[in-house]
Amino acid sequence: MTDLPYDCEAVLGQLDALRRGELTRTQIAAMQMHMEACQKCLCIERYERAFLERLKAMGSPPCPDALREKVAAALAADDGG
Amino acid sequence: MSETAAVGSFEAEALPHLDTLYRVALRLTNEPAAADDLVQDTMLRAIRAWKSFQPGSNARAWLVTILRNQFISGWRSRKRAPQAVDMDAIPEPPDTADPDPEGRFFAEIVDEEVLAAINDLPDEFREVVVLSDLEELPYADIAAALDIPVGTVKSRLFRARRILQGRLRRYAEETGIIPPRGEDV
Repeated sequence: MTDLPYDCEAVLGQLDALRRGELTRTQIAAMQMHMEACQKCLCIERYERAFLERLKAMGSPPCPDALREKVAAALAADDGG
Repeated sequence: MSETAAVGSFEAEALPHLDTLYRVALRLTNEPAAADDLVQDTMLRAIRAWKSFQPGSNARAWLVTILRNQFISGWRSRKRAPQAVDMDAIPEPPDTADPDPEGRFFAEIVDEEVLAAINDLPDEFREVVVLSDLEELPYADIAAALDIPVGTVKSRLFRARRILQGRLRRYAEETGIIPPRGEDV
């Protein structure tokens, strides 16, 4: 993979940045070019993505209304400790 | 700033983050009632320290820092001893010979097992997974909240994910979702 702009270590070290949209177009293109040629990195990227999607799929329970009311009451009653 | 204005600015800045605080508290304590108490303690501590908050800075990260400190000082000691992690039992990333190299099996695992795996992580790994992968806080905010360098956030996250992946993979193999590695499909 020495003819590619990024080696495996550089690609795997930037997978989070890629997912978070923190890379420049040039960096994204270099990542994609590497993964098109490197099955190992492509495989790891997809595996990581599937794992993170599973974590996010658990949903985000909101703060219960009862707790919001308790917090509001506690703040209103607070005398500064 | 008058006291009324201070309370108003606190409510405007802090209350929108109650959802995040509740979820982080729930994952740290693993008990809804304890999470309630931890959030209330955090908000009381926060309003009393509101004068030290820099206007325009990141209120969510500031609140998470307080919550995490409250957890360490008041809650963690009530929990189990930290889990020992057998790094040798953590599998390598998949390769092209893997029976499921793209990790499709993750989607087949029930929520309860995923939550149990997160809850069983040692605290230092669980908190980075919760803040990064569940709440999607930037590394810099996580580093500030945990008082560790960004590089340490990344390294803990890397290990935490491997631990979780290893456990979920074993579950998938044991329940027949995927065949064990090295076994003919």
